[in-house]
Amino acid sequence: MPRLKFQTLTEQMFYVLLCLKTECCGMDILDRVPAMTGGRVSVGSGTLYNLLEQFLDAGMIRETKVEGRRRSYVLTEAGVKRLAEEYRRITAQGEDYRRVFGEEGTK
Amino acid sequence: MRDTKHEMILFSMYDRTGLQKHFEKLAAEGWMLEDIGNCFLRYRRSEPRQVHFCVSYYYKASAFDPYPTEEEQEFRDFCAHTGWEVAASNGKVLAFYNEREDPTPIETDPALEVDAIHKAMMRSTILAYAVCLLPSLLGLWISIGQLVNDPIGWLSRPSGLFSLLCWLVLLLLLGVELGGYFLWRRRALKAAEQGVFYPTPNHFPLQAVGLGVVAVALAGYLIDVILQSNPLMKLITFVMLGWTVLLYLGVNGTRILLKRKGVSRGVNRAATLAVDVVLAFGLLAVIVFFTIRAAGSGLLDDSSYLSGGPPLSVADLTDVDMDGYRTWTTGDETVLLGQYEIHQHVDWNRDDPDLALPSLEYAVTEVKLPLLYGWCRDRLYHEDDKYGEQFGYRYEVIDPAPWGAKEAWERVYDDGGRTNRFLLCYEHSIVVIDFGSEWTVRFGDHWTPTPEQRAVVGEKLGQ
Repeated sequence: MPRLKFQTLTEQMFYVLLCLKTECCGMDILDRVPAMTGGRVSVGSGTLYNLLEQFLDAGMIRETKVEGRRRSYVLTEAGVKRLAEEYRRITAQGEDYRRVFGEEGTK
Repeated sequence: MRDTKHEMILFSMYDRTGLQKHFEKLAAEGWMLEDIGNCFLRYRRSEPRQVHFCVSYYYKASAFDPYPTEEEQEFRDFCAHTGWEVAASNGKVLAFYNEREDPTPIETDPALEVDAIHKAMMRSTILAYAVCLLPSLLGLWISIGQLVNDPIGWLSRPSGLFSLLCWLVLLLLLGVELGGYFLWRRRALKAAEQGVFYPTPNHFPLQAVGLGVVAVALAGYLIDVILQSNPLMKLITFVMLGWTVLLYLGVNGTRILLKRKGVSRGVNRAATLAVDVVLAFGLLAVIVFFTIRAAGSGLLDDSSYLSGGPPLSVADLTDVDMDGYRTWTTGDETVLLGQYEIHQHVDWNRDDPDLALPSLEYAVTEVKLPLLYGWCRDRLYHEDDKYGEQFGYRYEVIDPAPWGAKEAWERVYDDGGRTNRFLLCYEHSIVVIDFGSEWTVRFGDHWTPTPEQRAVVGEKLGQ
């Protein structure tokens, strides 16, 4: 069965939304995601372009200003809510893991 | 030393895997991609270098855009920020290169990439292929219909074989492209669920072979038209060829010119479409008009397939003056079969046509591929079956020796009456000969050949 759009967020979606807690433009996101994750996660420019378009369509982010070709965005309430849900989902996964393996399993 | 080189595009539009590898290989050889045209890729000479290429799809772009839109430029800016520069683009396809050692790819989410490719494909290639599919099926259906109704005549016409080959190749390529794309998409979507980028299939060899077959068939067809066809066929063939080239150049030229002039996408599209319609219908009307005029004024008369005249004429068989006759010759040949027909009848345009003069009609089928001999003989034997039942006649075996033939049949009425039509099989040819056609029989000018006349027929037509 196909997954509903944004029912679960991919790692890249999660970090792009996380970057948008404060207003920033696309190119800032391209730099911030690797910096935020210590280089573990990078978002491709094409992927980011399409993600921003889809987040806008879904009302999860909004455009705040346009300077030349630089558009800035920020999370909407729906985006904040979705991100929080994702956080809870990931946390629940972590807790389930701890329950099975105990604290020792995290080392 | 050349500084640029061109290559025909034999990749599918969505074959990003094949295109990327190809561009990278050529860059390493010292050829940097410079332009993506409709049919050709252009490269310029550069220092051999190891660069990464990425073919990306921007579905909102159009081949009619004079320059990248603000949105597309923003997309390009994103890519440039991670080191990806545009090498060339055409419509929705953008080829980027990156000189960094280990760059972040443009696409890092396979599902989003499949989605972007699909949007671009649906708005361009798939739409174009779907539009091509209908006339291709219609063309193939007409070709097969002609093949079924008159297989020998059809296989003897270069245009018949050429059109069948073209329709077949076109349908095959369309099928492979459309089927291949949707199959790839299905697999790519499944792979994307696992976070995997699924490689695109490479149809390069198939496209190259298909194009080669069409090129060889076209060359053969044109050579045949030049060497053998009558002036009308020559005129039609070359005018149609010129028309096709003019149409392509006119339509593409208009689009490119308007792009360079900075005309907007909408105006360019409307103007190009208008030029397309005007050239397509206008030129066709001009061609038809002048062909009719040329045919009507007799410019295209006296066509002859057999440059040396008919191999057998009434004068070879009887002591008649050919001045009172008119001869019609038609014929064509391919590498498989050749067929020509001769009709010699009284010239009705004369002031005093002599109705008592005998007439002669024959069709010679030259079988070049021995495998087809038995099939051709059977087809000719059964050619008149449906009329035979209606009018009560059939073929009856006769002695082939007087004709110098291997096998011979005579068509006779059920009541034993003669039609004076004979089917004669020689080593490499099959002859159907009428000594007085159905129509002329009514006027009583049919005649039965004597043994000497039969020997002359064998000598003239059996070689």
